[in-house]
Amino acid sequence: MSYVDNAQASYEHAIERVPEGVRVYLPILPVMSLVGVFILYPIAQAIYSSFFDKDLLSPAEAEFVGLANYAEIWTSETIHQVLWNTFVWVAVGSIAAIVLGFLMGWLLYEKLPFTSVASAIVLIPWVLPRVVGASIWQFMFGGSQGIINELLVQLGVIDEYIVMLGSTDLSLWPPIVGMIWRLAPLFALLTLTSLQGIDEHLYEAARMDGATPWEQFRYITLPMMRYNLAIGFLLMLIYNIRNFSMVWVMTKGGPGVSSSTLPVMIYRTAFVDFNVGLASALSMLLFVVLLVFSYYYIQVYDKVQGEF
Amino acid sequence: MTHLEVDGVTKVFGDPEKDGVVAVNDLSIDVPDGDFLVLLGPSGCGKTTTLRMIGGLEDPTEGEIRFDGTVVNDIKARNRDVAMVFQDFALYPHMTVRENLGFGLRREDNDMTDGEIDQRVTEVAEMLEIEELLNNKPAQLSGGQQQRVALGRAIIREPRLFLFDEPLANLDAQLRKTMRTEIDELQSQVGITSAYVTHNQEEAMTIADTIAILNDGKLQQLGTPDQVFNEPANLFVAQFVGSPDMNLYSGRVTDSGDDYAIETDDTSFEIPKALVETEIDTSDVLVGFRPQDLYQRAARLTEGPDVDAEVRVVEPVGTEAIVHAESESGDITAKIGGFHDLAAGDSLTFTIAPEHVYLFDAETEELIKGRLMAERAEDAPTNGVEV
Repeated sequence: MSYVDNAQASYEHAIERVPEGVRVYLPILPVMSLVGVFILYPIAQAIYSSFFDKDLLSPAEAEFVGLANYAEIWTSETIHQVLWNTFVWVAVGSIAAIVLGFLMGWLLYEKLPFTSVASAIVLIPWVLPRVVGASIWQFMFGGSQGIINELLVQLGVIDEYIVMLGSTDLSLWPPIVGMIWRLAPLFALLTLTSLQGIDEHLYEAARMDGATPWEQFRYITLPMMRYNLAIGFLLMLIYNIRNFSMVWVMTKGGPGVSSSTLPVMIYRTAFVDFNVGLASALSMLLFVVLLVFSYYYIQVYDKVQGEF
Repeated sequence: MTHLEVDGVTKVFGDPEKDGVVAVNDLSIDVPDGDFLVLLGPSGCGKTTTLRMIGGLEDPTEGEIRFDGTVVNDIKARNRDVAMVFQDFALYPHMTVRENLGFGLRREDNDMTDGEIDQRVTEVAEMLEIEELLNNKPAQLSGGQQQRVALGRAIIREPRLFLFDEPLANLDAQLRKTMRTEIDELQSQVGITSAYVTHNQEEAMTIADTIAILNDGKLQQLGTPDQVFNEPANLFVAQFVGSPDMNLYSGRVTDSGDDYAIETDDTSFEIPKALVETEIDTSDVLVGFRPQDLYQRAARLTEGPDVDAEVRVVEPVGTEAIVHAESESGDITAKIGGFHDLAAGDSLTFTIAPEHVYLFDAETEELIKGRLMAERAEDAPTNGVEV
């Protein structure tokens, strides 16, 4: 017997002693251990921390406070303001990105001149590094030199320059505009590919069946796209609620918490206020919301797999 | 019930002035009420484009399409009241069979209630034997079932015209034959004028009342299946119709009084002038033998040509066999019964009755003499040939 055969035989011998129930998990062990170290452990650590009053600068002096951090979320008006901001951010940002993206996708599909160039240009906001994109918008929204102020003055909407990023009433909106700019192209691309995926013959069959252009859209296009649109919608929600860079670069969540969304608030609580316990509790809130979105995402995704 | 006229229709894709592609070239076809027209030709001959123009999915560049004398060029597809069956069926994948069938009825300006539509759907489903499938989605159906749904979607509206765009091309050979018969039956039952596109000559021959053979966008011949087989207008039609392919040889004609003497590299023979309708005024011809018309010299007496050949391959097809052989001037294919004892390498002599010989003008490739059918051949002197 050669050396290789020997090694093979002793390996087979050894593996047989491992119970079947355990043996089947061995091949995925490397991946699972990475998931454990980088995903499961941090989650567990965050859950654990959320029950403590823990200062980032002196973590050893952490004090168990039970649900006090969660109680603070329940009562704090500042946090309520942040949650409302987050809701507005996600709702307005997602819906606007979807409507705008759908229209852009449709225009790209309608083989207008320069479509191929246009579809490349459309993707720029999405492929641009996030901080770069956010900085451009910060610059454009600037209170003294920003082009947007100039534009609004020229159009007669406002009389003089407004410091939008520094206003508690307005500061949430410039980052929302930036986010719509960033996400709409993604939805446009999704729209374009789902439109292209619809067999041309279906439209011809519908025309022969007497369907008007609107009926073709209503009974062929929309139903054929519904799962793709649903996936796109959930992706928009997830991207929006998770977003940090757009707000952080443009306003740092301020003034006050007027432009803070949940991720920004978590960051500020943990790394500006050093309140790890409260930050962990807030993270749990975000975690649960994302879990719900992801659940529906997977549901829809499975449906798509089943359908085609 | 519609009398369909395609009158001088031309379709150019792209810019007609510059690099436009002429898909259909000055095509005129008249389809009487209730007729089953088959548009037959090779890929890219313009047959599908013609069908799509009739349906309103393409606009003719020139010419008129008329339904019962009314020009429909400017009427949109959805208002033409024409039904079309597509090659890939084009069933709406997100709708059930019931919804697929009812879709057209719901789009029409009729006063049908949901109940009436449902009843009509059930009727059609029963007619096509797909009533158990009404609540299934197309993806759950076999190819044949999908085909039936596609047919149902067409007939349910009782349209003025049926259009079929290679409806059987996606089915397996067995199913193709059954569906072919069913479409034929269905069409004669409902009596709706139909146009059917195929590149399969066998399908065309079996299903058509009238065949229009197209090549390069031009009409080659319009006729019954018998006519295109027996009297093909030109060499293209003769080669496209019939299976196996016609055997062709170049030959020379000389006038020898009562007969025309034909000479090819392999053989020479005479064709009585009575069998040729027009006078032959050329010397160079193409001589065509259908494989079905050839038989072994020894089997019968005939005045026809002798072609000596050596067998290469014998393909048995049930009671018949297709024999591929090699003669002095090239390949020869024959389809005849009683060849079981033949094997590769055997020598034999083929012959053919003069009635069955085709002659084409070598230069224009137009038909000079077609294959005379039995009843017409009886009128002509047979020179002792048993027909």
